[in-house]
Amino acid sequence: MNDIGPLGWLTQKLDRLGQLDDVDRSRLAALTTRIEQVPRGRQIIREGQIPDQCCLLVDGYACRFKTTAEGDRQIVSFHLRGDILDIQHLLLSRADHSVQAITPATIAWMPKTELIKLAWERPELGKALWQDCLIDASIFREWVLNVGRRDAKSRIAHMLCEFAARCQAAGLGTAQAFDLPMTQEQIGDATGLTAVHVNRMLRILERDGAIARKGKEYQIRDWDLLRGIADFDPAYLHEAA
Amino acid sequence: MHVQLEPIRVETGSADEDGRLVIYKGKLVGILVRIAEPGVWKGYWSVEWIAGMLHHPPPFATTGEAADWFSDRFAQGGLK
Repeated sequence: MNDIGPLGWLTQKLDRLGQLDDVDRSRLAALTTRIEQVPRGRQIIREGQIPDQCCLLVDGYACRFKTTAEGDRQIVSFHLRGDILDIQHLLLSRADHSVQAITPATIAWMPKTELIKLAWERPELGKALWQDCLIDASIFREWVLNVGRRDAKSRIAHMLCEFAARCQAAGLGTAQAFDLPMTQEQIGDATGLTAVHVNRMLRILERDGAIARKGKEYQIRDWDLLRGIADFDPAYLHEAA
Repeated sequence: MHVQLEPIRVETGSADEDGRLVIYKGKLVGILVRIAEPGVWKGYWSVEWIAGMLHHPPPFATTGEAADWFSDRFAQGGLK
């Protein structure tokens, strides 16, 4: 748990998206939350489920994914504290993908009905939640481009640029130095590469002088170089970075 | 066994370059590369490419295991 309360990082993010006033902030802070600690690897939401609560990531990291009939997994996004992991469930009843904690995580469950009521009664908050949803969609579109059309080295570089930018926005490290919590298998599942090839590409990026790494600690040593390799333009992140 | 393996050097941008062309019933169906870079998979055989498939199994300990996998996969009708 962090010292700004379970809804602190969400409030900070929505504040960036909309022009919240004190009433908006206090209504947000008054939302009913049920805090749950989840271990690494726990599936928080399963595809096909009909949730009556929304799930906010308070601490730790998570991913959304889908699987083929054969069991092959595609990770479709990574998430940091302050992200609502299933904001679409405010208006869509059935989960169309699964959500998993990739590190030990703290989550806050919020009743769907309360959040919907709040979004309707407080237009700036409603607008900020809608924008958050649209930014999610923009990130998904960029990921389709990344997986479908970029070569392996660019895919990995792009994932690193995006993660660095989002970590900075979430107050987790800087754009130059951050922890990368995913395993190479998970990076492979997110970029459509084998873990073996992810490892090779990370070595090449390190050899080129774009990044340095020590375990999970990553440094971007040359942003311009990495951004060039990645074909990274942060415009698609809008206010998420 | 309908699988033949032919040595080939492969460009992977790394020290992993000792490769095998995987040939099933006279047709190229895959490329294997022996992992030479340090790490848990060192010495294993990584599947670099499979004809018409994106599904990549984890690396195999021996070329024999890899050949069996390709044989099973392509005996079931090959490309999916």
